[in-house]
Amino acid sequence: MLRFIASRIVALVAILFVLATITFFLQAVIPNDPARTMAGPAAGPAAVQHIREEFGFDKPLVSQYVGFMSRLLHGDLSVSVHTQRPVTTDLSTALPATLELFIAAFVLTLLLGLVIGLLTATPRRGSALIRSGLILGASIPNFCLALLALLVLYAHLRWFPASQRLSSDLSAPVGPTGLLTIDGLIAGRLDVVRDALWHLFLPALCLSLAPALVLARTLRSSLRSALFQDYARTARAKGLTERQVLLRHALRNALNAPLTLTGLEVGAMLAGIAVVESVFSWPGIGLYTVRAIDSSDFPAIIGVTLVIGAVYVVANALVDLAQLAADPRLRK
Amino acid sequence: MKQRWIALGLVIVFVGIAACSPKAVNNASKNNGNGNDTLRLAFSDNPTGGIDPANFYNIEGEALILSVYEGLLRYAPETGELEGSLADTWEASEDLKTFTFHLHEGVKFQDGTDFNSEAVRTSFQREIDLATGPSYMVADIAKMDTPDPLTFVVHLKHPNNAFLDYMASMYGPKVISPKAISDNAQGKDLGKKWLASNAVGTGPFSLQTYQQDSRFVLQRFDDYWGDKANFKTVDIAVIPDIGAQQLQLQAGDLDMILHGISASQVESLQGSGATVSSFKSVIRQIILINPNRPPFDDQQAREAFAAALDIGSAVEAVYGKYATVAQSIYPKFTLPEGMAPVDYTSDATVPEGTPITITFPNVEPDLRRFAEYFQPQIEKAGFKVTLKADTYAQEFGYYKNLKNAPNAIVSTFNPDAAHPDTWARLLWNTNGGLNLLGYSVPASDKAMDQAVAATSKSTADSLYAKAGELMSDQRLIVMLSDAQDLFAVNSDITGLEHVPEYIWTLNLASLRRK
Repeated sequence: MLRFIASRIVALVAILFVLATITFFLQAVIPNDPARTMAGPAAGPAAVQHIREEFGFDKPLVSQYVGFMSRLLHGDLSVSVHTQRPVTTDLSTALPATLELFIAAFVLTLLLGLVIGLLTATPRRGSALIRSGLILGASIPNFCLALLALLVLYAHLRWFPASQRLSSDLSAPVGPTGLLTIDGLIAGRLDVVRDALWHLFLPALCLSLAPALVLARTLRSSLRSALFQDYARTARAKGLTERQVLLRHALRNALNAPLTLTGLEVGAMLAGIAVVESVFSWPGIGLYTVRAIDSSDFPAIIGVTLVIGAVYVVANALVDLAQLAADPRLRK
Repeated sequence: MKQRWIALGLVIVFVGIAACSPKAVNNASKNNGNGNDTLRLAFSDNPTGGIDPANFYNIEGEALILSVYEGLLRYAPETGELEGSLADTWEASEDLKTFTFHLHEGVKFQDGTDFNSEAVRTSFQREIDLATGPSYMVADIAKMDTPDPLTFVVHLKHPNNAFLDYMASMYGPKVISPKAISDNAQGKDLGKKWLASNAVGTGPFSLQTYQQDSRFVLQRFDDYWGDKANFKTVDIAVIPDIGAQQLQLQAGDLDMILHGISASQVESLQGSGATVSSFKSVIRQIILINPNRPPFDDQQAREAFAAALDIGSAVEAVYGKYATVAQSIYPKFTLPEGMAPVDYTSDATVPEGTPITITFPNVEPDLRRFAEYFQPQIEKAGFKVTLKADTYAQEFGYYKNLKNAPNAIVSTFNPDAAHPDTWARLLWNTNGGLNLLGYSVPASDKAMDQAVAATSKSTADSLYAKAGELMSDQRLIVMLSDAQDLFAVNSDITGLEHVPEYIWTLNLASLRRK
């Protein structure tokens, strides 16, 4: 176990170093002028030069890289060109919002995937229709789903709000996590918790639906394969009901493939976050990333790249651990 | 059977989450029944770099800054004429180097401190010292005097007939509470870090909340020296997607959309119960031509390109009645009508299949439509056109490698003020801030320098016209259209006041609910 954790940490550091370096040197390829972006589009040469000198943009790129990596080792991700605040400050504001959305979406993914996978594992009337529905649902792009959800569930049915994390008449409690649901619970503000969940549901659903359906299809295939194994036949012969065979025997054996897929789907969900946050005006790192790319804000882009890279590596490490827990054969 | 119960249970949970929402289902959030309590707007982005008026040099966010801060002068609604703001009256010396402002008496800052000439001097000096984007407007100040609390005198190093327009510009120097600056300065930053997300001005609204990427809330300033605002609160949500803004306007969760409305969307918005109001503005659509690489390093090719454009039909197709074809090299409200007319006729030709790349900003669907509309016309003239989308940030970086920059850029700009210098000098002066493609027309630069120092308005206008014609003769910039400023407004909102030079914003204080 220690060796496993150590190897993952080494991999994390190496991946982050490579990501930071590649992203940093992309500046040389993309035409941009961070000093101009900070000074304003119509700023004169004097104002632009002033900012260039203040932030070191006038130095050679390699020299800027050395300075950047040196600051990075001390946890300093430089100043965002767009917001003109430290990138670490921006990320510390945006990350809790994305984390809350991601956790909600992840939980929904697992729940929906598990339930739908179980429900469709055994043959029933309408299986072909259900299968087609799963394929269709998994094929809808995130932005399409988000806009559809806004149109139907907000504009027409008025069931859910269209944007933001909290209603304008509520003030967010100051808490240790930045997650409104948790901080609301800690502060005893059930009104905030309810309102935050209400705002969270629609974007989380849009983010989770496609991966949930992919997970369900994979789980369904694995379960159907497991239900035909010898141990399943033996269990039936011993008098267990089909439900008992499914839940006690087949499910655990069928989890390997879906769990592996979950790790990959985390990446897909992270990719979808930018779109979902933009459509729902969710103030997370997805929205921050979109703005950073639009304004060629490389300090912010690097910061986000490092955060997402770290999350992806950690998430896959957790998936590996979950697989080890589920399948004792892999521990050898 | 049990699986069906599980499925039914899930459906009940989902419906329950919706039903247990803090607001009831079908909450009639239209108006929230709150009369003139809260005006709800949206920004598509945070104000870039924050809301320090000495640092802010973009457009999104002006509605907030102009509601909280004021300058010495402003432009009047509709006419765009200069009028007093914090200064009641003013005089300019004959040599246009000394400007005396007589300040309004009894003005308070939102922190309760008194407004006076010393406060003006502090704000001006701060802007000079910070030397950021809009600071060119005060950079030529040699000395400032405050002979009494209600008189402020500026002495310039050189004559400048644009100085009064700088004072009225939406980017012009705004007066900030000196107490707020001194109390919140960190080291030698002159309060820059604090003022990025806080504000203490003299305007009709004070800033209550600034949550980046989330919302900004303004409160009516009840001690405002002028006409009190009708709305008690202005709630500005950050909603990046224009489609989401439109949905929320139609659902009654927003009271207005300040920009981003295409002419093609007007009908559908009006059909949903909103009112779309259009106002004349200084917004101008143009094509910048790159003379640093083939084929446009040859003037003949530039002339052939410009002559090929059927600008009239393109403007009609893209904007309908919400823009007019540019008749002058200068946008409306800057030069008298009829001066510096555009003329792109030419018999020049290019070899068949001459390749060019034309870009347009990815966030501007109307500019994309322009480019697509022009493409067949330009190809008929012999060019082989490739269209590409880019970002504004990339456009500002093309100067680093002009030989690899696009051959032409379709874009939209606006002058900083109702003065031709803030158009010509920015756009095609050799050192212009918006001179994206490295133009240099020394004779035009010289005409501009003579124009800005001219003591007679007619002489100045003639010189600016000459500066424009010298540039236009070389076909460096093709002027396309003067677009109107479009606002989608909840039909129960009235009192709309728009200043042509203050784009993407209305006077929030004059708005009220019927």
